[in-house]
Amino acid sequence: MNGDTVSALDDAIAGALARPARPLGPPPSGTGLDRRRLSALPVAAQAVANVAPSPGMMAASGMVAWLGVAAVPVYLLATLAMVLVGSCVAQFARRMAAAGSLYTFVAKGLTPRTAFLTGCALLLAYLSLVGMCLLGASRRLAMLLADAGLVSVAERERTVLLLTVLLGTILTTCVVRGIQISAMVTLALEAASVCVVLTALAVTAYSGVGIDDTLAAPDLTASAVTGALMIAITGLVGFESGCALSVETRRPYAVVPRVMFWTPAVCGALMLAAAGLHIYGFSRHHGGSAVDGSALAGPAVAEVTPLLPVLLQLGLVSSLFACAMASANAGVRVLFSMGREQVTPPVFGRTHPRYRTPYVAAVTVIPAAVLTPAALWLAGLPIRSISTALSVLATQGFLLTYVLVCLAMPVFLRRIGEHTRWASVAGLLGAVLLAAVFTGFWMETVRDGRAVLVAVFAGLLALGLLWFGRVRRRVPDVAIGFFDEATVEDILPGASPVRRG
Amino acid sequence: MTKPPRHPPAELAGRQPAAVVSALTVLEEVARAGPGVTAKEISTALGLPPATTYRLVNLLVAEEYLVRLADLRGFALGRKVVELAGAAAREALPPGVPEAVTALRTRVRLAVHLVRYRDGRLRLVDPDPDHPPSAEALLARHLHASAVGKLLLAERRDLLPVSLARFTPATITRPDLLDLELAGVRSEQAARQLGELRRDRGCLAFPVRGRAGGLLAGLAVSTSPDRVGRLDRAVLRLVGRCVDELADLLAPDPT
Repeated sequence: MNGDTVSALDDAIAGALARPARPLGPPPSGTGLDRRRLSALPVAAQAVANVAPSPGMMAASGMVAWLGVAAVPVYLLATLAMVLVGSCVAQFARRMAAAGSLYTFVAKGLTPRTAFLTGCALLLAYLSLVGMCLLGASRRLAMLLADAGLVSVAERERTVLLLTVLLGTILTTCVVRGIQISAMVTLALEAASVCVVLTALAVTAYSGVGIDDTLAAPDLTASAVTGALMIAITGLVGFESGCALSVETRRPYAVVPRVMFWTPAVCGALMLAAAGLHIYGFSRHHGGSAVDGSALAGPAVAEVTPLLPVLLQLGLVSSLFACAMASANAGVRVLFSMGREQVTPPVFGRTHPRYRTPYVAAVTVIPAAVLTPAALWLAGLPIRSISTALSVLATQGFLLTYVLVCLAMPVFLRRIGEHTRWASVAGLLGAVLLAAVFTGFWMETVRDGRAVLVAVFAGLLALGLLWFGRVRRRVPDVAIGFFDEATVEDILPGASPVRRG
Repeated sequence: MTKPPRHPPAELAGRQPAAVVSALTVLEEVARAGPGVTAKEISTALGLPPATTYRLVNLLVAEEYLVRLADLRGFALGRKVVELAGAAAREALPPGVPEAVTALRTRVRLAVHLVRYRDGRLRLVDPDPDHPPSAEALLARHLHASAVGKLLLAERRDLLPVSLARFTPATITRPDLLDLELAGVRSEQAARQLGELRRDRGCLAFPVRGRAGGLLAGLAVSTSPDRVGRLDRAVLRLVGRCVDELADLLAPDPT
């Protein structure tokens, strides 16, 4: 360090201190969102809740039943893939805070059309997840109520519908009422749910109750392993929703990248733990036979404690509700960003004057996400197939978004002159890996006789592109990529770029 | 018991201090090159490997010592850099300000304190030497419990701490009551505190505003809580005159 450079920094500090204090005005409103308010924990909760590890843990323990010990490397591989995607997303999150999350990120690397496609896929994923989770939560609640004798079995379907509307109303209120509240609710519900499921799994493993005596020979054919990999990966998607809160997070460039890296890692570890507990419980009691995961929720656990199945169901309900809340939070922020860029009606870019949330987007799309499945059910479709359809749509949305964000990352870094060889390799590897998973998922869906869902997905995205084409014909240079730019408040007084700009 | 090692442990002697030095040189380079300098330019100027430079600038951005500008390529020094100068960097008061405050002190025979507000932070710039007020850190952290803090909160409710700590039975800890109080501050253009931070101390604070009406500073007189409510009219007139004088000194006419 020579004296000259030291004095440059000293001069800057002295200059800043010597400036007359700027009078305080209201805080910069920039985006209209509640800027820089959330601490790290709610942001992590948002990301984790959107992954919904509890149902994933149940699936993981169930997988042991047909894959045996091979479930462990399957989950390891899935976790590694998602951590890779997470680290690609973190490259963006370290450099910009955007409510549009991956939609805005892709806009900074690829073309506006591709970015809009990403936005549509992401929005579709979040909204499908909102519908699916609320439907799932109300189905389980209705089942509990029926078991308790509070509603008759005949009324169960109607109860499901009523509960869905009720939960949807609560959800919308929380999302509008403020990110602090909805993030805290998410955190509490998700934490409770993970604790309950882990306890239930541990109790089962140690007591040996609920463990199947019959030997299931692990089915290790290529198609079985690919199928298992699909289940594991789809159980881990959704962690990127933490990015949607980056504008509202304190120290976003430190917090959000960490959340992007650790959420898939921790959720993967939870699922591995769930699988591990089953393998352990099983070798402890039967010396090597398989465990039937579905027995957990059934009468077997009730032999240990009659409360456990009820608690387990409540835990899953709260996880599903938290997932719906997290998806809704992220989804309305994607739509809000589109509204601000005027690629959708600008009214979606409006924020509540008091709660500083994108309330117009919230009161429009959350009811739509809740009522569409309800209408399908009224039209005669069974609830179970509606859930499956929504889950398949959501997974396609997430996987496509991940492929594109991995592709966009190295291009973005090159554009801003910060590319490294490692980043290019990571981006390319992530894109290829996820594209393979996406193709695999499509093939699996078609093989299961659900080709129509692939068509619906492609059709909805095509509609989105048609819409974008129309917007572009009217406004040829429509700007996509709205993010939270540095304000004068953030920069050292006297160090603003007036000379250059 | 073994003697403590004479040399610092290996991990301290190794890479970390080097990283700190590199981080500081990056800050210095941004200061020297001026706002808008890119990571690549920093890397070239300092002869640091690009990957290391990118990691360092992103770390400094994460900690808010650097700010990434709107083009996402360029950097500027962050507001937090001032904190590097630490408490030593006391703000120099414009000439005439200390004299005006001292004059008021000798005339009203009450404790008189001057605080300034900068970037949403409260700074005790001229505390009464004979009746020292509560520590600056305490005032700055618990804005709801002091008169000078309430002046700031009345303008910037977003600075409200997450939980309102209770210091005495008189401390306002309910957000709704505090909102009511702050509305009163806004309408009366004065804030009071009656034994809310310390039982034996009350305070009356007046805002010092710039030409555009922005809050620059706060002038507070402090005495026992029961006396705050019935201060002499003459005393209040003197304080009011001092507030006007300070407004002229702190925000001089641009012409």
